[in-house]
Amino acid sequence: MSLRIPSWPAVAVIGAAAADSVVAATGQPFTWRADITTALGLVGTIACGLVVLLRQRRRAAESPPAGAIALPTAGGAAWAAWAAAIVAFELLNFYTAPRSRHPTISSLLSILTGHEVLRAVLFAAWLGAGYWLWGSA
Amino acid sequence: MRAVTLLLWAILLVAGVALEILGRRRLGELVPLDRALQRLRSVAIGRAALVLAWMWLGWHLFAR
Repeated sequence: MSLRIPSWPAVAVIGAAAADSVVAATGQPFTWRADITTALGLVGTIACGLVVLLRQRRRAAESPPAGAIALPTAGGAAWAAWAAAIVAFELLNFYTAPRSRHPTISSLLSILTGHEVLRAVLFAAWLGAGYWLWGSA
Repeated sequence: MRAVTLLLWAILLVAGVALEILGRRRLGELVPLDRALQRLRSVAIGRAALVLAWMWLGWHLFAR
């Protein structure tokens, strides 16, 4: 097994994401601070994702095309049905009052986002998920 | 009513976890979530939809 030393841009990006997560964790929603830290994470992740995507496109153009990813239809349909059920129930709760009786996902997650450490972990996970979206498919 | 709503959320959560476990065990044609999303990412419109959903989620949870 060989350990790969991460490049300095990768270390810088991870450091910036961690710093942004920590700063975001100490702020509260509906403040300028929250707007700025979230916007920084959003723009930074999209910029990094675009760089990764362009590099992959360049590499793909140089090498022969790989076979398309085959996904069994039932597998995709099961996840699509699950996602549709989540969205439908979320909308039902969103448009039904009061919120205390009909909690939405975000009102349930407010237990986590209300705590600084958990908020930092959740923010970092959100940045990671955003970066993953741009990886090779 | 709150208890019923929470129970339904729990059922949906358990269903998602069950799908993931069964997908990882390759039961039938089920696949894990990352593989299902990979397919969606492979087309431009799917990737754009995922990025928009990700943007909305972050803004909704952390900013507004």
